[in-house]
Amino acid sequence: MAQDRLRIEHISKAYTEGYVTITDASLQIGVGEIHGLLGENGAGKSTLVKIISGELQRDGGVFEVDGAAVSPASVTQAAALGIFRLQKKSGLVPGLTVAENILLGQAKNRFAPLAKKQRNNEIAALLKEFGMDPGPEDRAVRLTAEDALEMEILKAYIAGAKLIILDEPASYFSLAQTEELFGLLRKIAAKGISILYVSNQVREMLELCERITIMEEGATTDCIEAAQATPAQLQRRMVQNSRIKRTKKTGAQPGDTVLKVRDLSVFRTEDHPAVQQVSFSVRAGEVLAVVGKPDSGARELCEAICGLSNIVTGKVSIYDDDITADRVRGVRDLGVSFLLSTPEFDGVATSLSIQENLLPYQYTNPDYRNYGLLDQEKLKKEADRLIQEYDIRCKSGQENASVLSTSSTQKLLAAREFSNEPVLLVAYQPTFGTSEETAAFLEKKLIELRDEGTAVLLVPTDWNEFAVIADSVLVLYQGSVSAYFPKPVSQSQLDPYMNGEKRMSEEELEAVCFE
Amino acid sequence: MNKKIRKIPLPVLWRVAAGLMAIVVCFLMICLFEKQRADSLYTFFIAPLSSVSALTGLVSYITPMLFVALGCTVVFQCRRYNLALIASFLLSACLVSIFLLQGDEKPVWYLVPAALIIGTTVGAVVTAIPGLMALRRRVNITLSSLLLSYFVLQLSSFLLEHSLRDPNAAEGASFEIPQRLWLPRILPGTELRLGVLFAAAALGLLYLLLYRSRIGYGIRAVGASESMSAYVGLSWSGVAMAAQLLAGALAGFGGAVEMMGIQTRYVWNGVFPSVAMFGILAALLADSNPLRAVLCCLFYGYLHQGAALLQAQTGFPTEVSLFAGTVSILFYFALCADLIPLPINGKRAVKSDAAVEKTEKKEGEVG
Repeated sequence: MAQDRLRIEHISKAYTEGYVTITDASLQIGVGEIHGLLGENGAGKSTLVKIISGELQRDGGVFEVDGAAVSPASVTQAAALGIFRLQKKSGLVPGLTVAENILLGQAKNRFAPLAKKQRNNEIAALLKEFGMDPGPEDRAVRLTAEDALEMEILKAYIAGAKLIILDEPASYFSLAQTEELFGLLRKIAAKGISILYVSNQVREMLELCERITIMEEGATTDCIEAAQATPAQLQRRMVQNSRIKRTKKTGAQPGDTVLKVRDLSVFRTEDHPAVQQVSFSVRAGEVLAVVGKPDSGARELCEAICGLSNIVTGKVSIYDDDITADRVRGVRDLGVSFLLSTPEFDGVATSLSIQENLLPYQYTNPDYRNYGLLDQEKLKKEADRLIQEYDIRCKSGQENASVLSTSSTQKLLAAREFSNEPVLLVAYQPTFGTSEETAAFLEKKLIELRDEGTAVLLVPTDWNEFAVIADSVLVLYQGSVSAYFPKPVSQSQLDPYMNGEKRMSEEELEAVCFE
Repeated sequence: MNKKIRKIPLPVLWRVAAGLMAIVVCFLMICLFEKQRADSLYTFFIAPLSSVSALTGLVSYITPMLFVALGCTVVFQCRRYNLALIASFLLSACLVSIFLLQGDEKPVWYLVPAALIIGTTVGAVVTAIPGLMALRRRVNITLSSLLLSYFVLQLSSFLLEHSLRDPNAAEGASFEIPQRLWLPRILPGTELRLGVLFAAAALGLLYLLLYRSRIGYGIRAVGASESMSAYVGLSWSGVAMAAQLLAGALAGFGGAVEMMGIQTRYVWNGVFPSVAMFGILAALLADSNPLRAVLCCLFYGYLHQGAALLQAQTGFPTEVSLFAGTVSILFYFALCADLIPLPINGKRAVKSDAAVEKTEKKEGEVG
């Protein structure tokens, strides 16, 4: 390749709250190349991408675009250099049409009603050229997530992008659409535009990319030609130097069956299942890990158990109480706790005090009342105890929760849920976005909880967490169970089941349905 | 001086500035449009505070307003901008008037408590309508409640015209409500009636409810974050409905109190809606804190009393007080949203946490 479109060398970024530390990252992308950036969750891909797209500033290292050294200080500056990062969530304005969205922020889009027809024709021609379904007059709100992403790619193309970055786009893509997306990306690349495709999915990478850079623990370790790699080989490379075990635990001593799930299906819409006919059980004092690719339905499964889903069939019970139709309140009353925090579903109210966020169950507990009114002293004492025990960093429990860092917020959520003496804990990516120290602390707490006899249903944040706390494993592939292992196994053993290449027989799968 | 000012929390400064703004507006209006400026300014600003009877008159005047303001603090804390409290207040006052006038023959011990109960119930029912519509059909609560208030305004003037109107009254007004049905005086020789004690009790109970009880925690948690309250299993729909019923009941009670000694007739001249409107403004300026709401009610009541005295003297329109009140709230919002920086010397963190919080709140208001 004559010249690199993007060349970064030995980039570093010291620890910043909420981001993974980058120690040494290098990356070269040629003109018109589709380049893959592959790594585990928490390997630092997103941080690196944010540095490239101007959202974060690097501490040191070389950053060149088309041979010229640059250091974009904001997303706008990066865009001026031709670097566009597509958000994980659609950035289209829902009320505007496709054409308006594509031209948004362009000089052409100045107020000129007469030019509307001409403009629409141009966009229609463009849409046709790239073989896309929506018309220029369709409203963005009507687009599917997949179409919306494709529109954003076109928007970047029209805006004069030299490098388009896609950060884990396939995590919300259906398979058929992935093909379509890849087709579009190849056409765009053929026009001389470089593409950086970030993902932790080996298969997609091999199909789409020419070269793949592998990232581990904040450093890029290798760059391979896709043509010469096999999936298994890549997968191994990705986790080659997995981190030292942070916590040691003793073997599980499972007790009675706490959670029974039988033939559970969860629907996103009436004819679109996310989880299909899933059956399993979780026993007291056991951590059952549910693993799978992002579209495996693990999240929907957790939500259904916690009473957050609407369309559910099958049966879910805690001991002998049927909770299938219960909402959160009913489920919690039976002693279920859950950690399910995401940006869309926030467990913390930032305008309430830390104490009020920490103790919702105590506030509703008659033991914390005095003559019918809340016992302020007792509540404060309990809050201070939890703040101390979980090392939630704040000046006092009366401060607003908005002062908390990402790690402390996660610790607050954990303190709230763990202190409730749950019979079942549903933990969906419990250490997501936290520092390593916090992650280790929370993992230790989870194991303590298990040893006290709580049944834990875990969707691990990363493979390291999986290795540390899982006692048994359930593998989901596209919403149904493809394997069950009563003992912890290595990731390579799980891979074929996660990818849908293998599936255990019905008899083998019945082993996970204890009565 | 500056150092002292800098120690005061920003929201307090904003409130004071908004209050000053209202006073400045009134001052300018009077200076611009009144001929005998000195006299008019005295009547407006000093007279309402110049005698015991004027002061007790002020306290008496704000009593119904305070009920509406307290109701608003509950729904606003729950982040339900249900303005049907205006309708609750109006309809309750109207129906209580009809009830009292129709039941002239019956004994007082029956009529007075029954009127209070009717007012409270009517108020709660009225606010429940937009509440239920929002819950079942996701109708924007502010919009529906505003329309409902307008409807009730028209309905009450219709009722007034057709069943209440005293043909001998100069303006559109009902027959006079018999004095024996007024709430008893608590201090002889003043205008202070039992309603003031009811208001004080409501204030105390509401404070305990909001900050010292499980339900209050629920109301504040739902207002702070619906997703957080759903997460911890609070039934946000139930909490929100309870908050709205409570607020409506308070406003309705205020309407009943208004008709039992504070106003002698049910009058159609814009007086009643302005009482409810002041209540809402007071709750907004108080940032939904019931204790602060009392101070804000006193302030707006003071402006209104001044304007009323001035009208009696020179015919200057009382509406100037409501105008100044709305301007002060708009100014307060602008300060909260950092649209207008306060001219304080020395560097002061412009984007304080409180400022950010306020902006978020206002966004919530629109949505």
